[in-house]
Amino acid sequence: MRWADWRTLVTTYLRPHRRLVGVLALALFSTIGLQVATPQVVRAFVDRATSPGEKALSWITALYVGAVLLQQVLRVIAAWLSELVGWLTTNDLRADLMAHCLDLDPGFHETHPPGELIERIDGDLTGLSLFFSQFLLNVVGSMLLLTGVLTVVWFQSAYAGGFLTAFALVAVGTLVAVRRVSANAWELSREKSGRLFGFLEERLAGTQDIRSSGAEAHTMRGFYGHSRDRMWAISRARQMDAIPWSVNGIIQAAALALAFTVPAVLVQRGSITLGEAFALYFYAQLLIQPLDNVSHQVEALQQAIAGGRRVMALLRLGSEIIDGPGADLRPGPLPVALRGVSFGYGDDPDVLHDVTIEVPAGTVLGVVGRTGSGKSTIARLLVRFHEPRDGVLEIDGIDLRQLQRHQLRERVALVTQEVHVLRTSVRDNLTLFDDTIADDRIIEAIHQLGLGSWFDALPDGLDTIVREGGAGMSAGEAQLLSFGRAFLADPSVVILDEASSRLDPATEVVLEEAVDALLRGRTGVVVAHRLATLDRCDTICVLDHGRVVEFGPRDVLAADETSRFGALLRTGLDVVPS
Amino acid sequence: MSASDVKTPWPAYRYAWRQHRFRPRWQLTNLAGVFLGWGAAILPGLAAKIVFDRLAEGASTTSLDWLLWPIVLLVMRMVATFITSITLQSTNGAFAYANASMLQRNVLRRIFELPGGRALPSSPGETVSRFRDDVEHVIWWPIGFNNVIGSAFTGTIAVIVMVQINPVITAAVLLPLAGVVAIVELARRRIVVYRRANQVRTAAITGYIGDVFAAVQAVQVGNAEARVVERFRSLNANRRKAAVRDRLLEEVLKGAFWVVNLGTGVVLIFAGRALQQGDFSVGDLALFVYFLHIFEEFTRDVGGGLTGYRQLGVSYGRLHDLLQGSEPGALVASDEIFQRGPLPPRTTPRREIEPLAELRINGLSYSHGISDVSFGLPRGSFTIVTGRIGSGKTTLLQSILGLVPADGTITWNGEVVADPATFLVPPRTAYTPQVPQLFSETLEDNILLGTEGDLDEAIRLAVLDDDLGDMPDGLATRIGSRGVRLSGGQVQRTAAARMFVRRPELLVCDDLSSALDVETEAALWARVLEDGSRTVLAVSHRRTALQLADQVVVLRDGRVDDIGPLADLLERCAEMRRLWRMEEIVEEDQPA
Repeated sequence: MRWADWRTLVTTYLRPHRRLVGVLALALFSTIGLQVATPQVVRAFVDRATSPGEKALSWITALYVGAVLLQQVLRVIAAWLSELVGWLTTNDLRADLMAHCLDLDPGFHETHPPGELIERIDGDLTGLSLFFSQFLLNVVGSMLLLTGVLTVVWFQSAYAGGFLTAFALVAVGTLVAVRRVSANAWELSREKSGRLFGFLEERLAGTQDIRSSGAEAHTMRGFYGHSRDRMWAISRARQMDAIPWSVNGIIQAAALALAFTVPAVLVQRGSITLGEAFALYFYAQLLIQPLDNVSHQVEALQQAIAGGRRVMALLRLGSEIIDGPGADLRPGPLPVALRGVSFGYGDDPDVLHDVTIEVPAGTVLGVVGRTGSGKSTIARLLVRFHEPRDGVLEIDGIDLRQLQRHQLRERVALVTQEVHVLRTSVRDNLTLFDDTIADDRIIEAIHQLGLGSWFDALPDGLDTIVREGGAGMSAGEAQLLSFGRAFLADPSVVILDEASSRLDPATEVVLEEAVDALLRGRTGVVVAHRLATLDRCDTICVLDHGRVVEFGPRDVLAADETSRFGALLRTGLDVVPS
Repeated sequence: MSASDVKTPWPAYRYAWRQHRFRPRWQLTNLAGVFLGWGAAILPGLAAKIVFDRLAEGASTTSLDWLLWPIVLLVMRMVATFITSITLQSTNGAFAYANASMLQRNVLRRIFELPGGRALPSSPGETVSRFRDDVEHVIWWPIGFNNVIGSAFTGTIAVIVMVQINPVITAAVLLPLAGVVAIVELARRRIVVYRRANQVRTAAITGYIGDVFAAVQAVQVGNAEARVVERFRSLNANRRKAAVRDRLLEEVLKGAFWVVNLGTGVVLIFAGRALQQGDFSVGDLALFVYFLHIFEEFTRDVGGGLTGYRQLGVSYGRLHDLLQGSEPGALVASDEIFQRGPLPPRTTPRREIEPLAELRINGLSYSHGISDVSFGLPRGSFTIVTGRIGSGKTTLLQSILGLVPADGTITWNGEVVADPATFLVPPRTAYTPQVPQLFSETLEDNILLGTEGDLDEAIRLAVLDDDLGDMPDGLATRIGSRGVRLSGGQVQRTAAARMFVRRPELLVCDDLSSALDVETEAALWARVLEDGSRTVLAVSHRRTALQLADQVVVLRDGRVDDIGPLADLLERCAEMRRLWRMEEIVEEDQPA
């Protein structure tokens, strides 16, 4: 991780909390000041106790205990504030990461399952959180303490000061040098953890599939593989850490050796008193503590570096979809058009070839074709999930690339066959957390969708928590929720991508009116494989292997003896040998 | 009731002890390293006593030969520390994470024994948090505990040395330490409450992230990114409050442990007069002050251990909750975890079973959905279950297959099936759920999932052959997270191929056709039924399917409304006529 990255992290996320950081620094400075001062009290104590004659020692001990208690209180305050700062900063970063990931295109989400994103948005930040909350406190505090101790020792004896300073410089230099030894190994271990938890999340979501396919043993095998990869990766990283750890042990022993020999020489020369020698012994031990801290933080720092690298890598990923400068769309239904559009996923060959379709404002286009013929791709291109390889998509005569995505998606609603339910209230599921939508509007939408009796049975009304795939919501009902979302969004263009595929005919009849209401006064693109769904269309487009093979008014095509659509209508209800 | 309130059937130490014993060699290595490192920690104290006693005698000699012994003691300490860090660092990771594998394996294995439709008490994302965070909490326990033993050992030696020097001052120093243990015990309840709140809120966050990204399309299409992030911020703020409170309490308690400075004060109070009277030397003072560091670490380890023990119970509880009523020791079952060497075999050979003659369902009921359903499936028959949404079609299939725990009996060739969940699996039955889950692997892996079988035939039956031709990597195509690179129909037909490749006696499909166009669906049924040998139970509303069925089961509000051949039902069953109507409208609508 580069310095510039750390600077970005610190300036973006730490600066807003600079007041707290200020108070934290104050508490920290006071603690360190007290720590540096207390050995002087001990010096006075030893000198008075060992000099001939009875001298009062009680006030000196009282002073010592008072200083120590105050130090304790300040330490707690500093620790509390640093924890607070750690969470405040990383929570901002977490939110930004989530916003960033939500901004990325489907290509990203195809390769990064939700389980992995849990790790990258939350798990990777644990290390960084420690960095902000403990590393700064411990390392910066330790460095200050080091400086304070050395300054005092210099004043006491230049000879001792020289030795201890030289020692501290060598020690810190060595510790910093060995610091990065295991960073790569830690990064690898985080990657392996991400894999394991990504694997687990997917399998836990598919218990039913695994059970009914008799694939338990196969899944366990996959688990064993991922789990041991992670175990050995972490083990290797910790083995690398043995180097900084043992270096630290050697440095500690050396500090004690100095604490004995330097005062011994000085006392025998008669240049310091016994009390001063004792204070030096205290100071040498005070040196051990920050050095110890620094090396204890090595592991935390390396995890923070590994986490930080992954965070920065994630933040640097750009969406393939770039927002345009923005443009104003007129109110009301808008015309939609594809002009010579070709498209393929990734490096794959084109799945759409030179598709040209126009949908005048306020009319409904039906798109039919076999599965895999590219119908859904058109729907996805229209909400700009992907960029065409060739050609232009237009809404209201404006190239989609000129628009900002939110401008487009405010006006275009897509209802797909995929069931997306959040484990939150029915209200939030319908409004997607939009508090500005009034409850009666939501309830009206529910009734329009024919979900009235389902809704009346909910124990807490709109506040009922929807359970993913669980009790109270069948797949069909969940799909109706996405209709509800489209209703509440009040769009100008509605795209239905096989949206009613999970509904039975009886429910679909109920939904008919709702769909009519949804399409009324709006432009519609209806992708369907059920012919009944196409009744309300003004024009029909038949796709075959990504090419438009028929495009024209529904009535004309239906009446045409040679038309594929007409043939489909006539034979659609019978078994067609493939 | 939150899941975290679950009590474990065993006290936490029994689980912890199993963890200690799971890898005896690493456990002993760890213990040996800890003893060596801790034992050597008293040497610098002895060195300090020698040095300061000598210095207090005054500058009688200029020779520094006497420094040899203290230096030798320090070098011994250095070597011991070196060996300890190498030993511990090279075994601790494997020790801890072998335990992680063991715990995670045991939970996962149990989840695959539970009814597949109800295997998790909460969402997959929240469950992952238990696999990650709760496991992480408990795996470090054995190492932390060994550390306490090591520091207790050293502490005992230190106390013996100190008592020999001055029993009164020793007692004065040690008494406050007993107080520390008492304080931690009193604070116990708070610690558990705070930690639990912290874990519940962390789980809410991981669950939320999982949910949001599983539904990322809906969020993007709904233009809800900003609002979703806003909600995330408030969840994060909740956790922050819990975590900060947790840390504050921990620091206050740790401050109480922080005995070196206060202890030094106590030593000074008692040592002053003794020093002046010559009963206590400056060397003794140096030794006492040094040993306080050992006690500081000892009390910190003990306090940390006690606090950790409370938290241990919470985490074991949350893990045990996932086991949903298995025997107490299942969480820490210590059989093979394949940490080295070959993994278990990639594929399992097909078992030989008694071919299906007839499957009968008698009085099947499930509290949330169906009641008293009975019908039979003779070999070679095609049965369709139909009904409106919410009528219990999916629940019926899940109940038959034991994916939800239902009442009633199921017989296979006249013999009662004791546990459908383990009996009605491949090669007896295979199932395509309404919303199939695919995994981020290749298409081939997704279809096979560890079985051996005729892939080409399965692909042909599932009408996937054309689609495969359009994929440049064919069967090796990586299908992306949860199969999102495939179209809805392709996902469903991949799941169907997964079913076909198992060559089951009975095929069970839940609304296989919902994402298929008319032609593809017709082709699929034609291929499945071509030789009349397959027994099929399917949920469908499609006329193409209904017309092919030998019998149709019409469900209404969880009960069987009627059963029979389609033609009979259209005459006598009003519900069937309603369900049929949709397609009729199309017919009437057709222009001449």
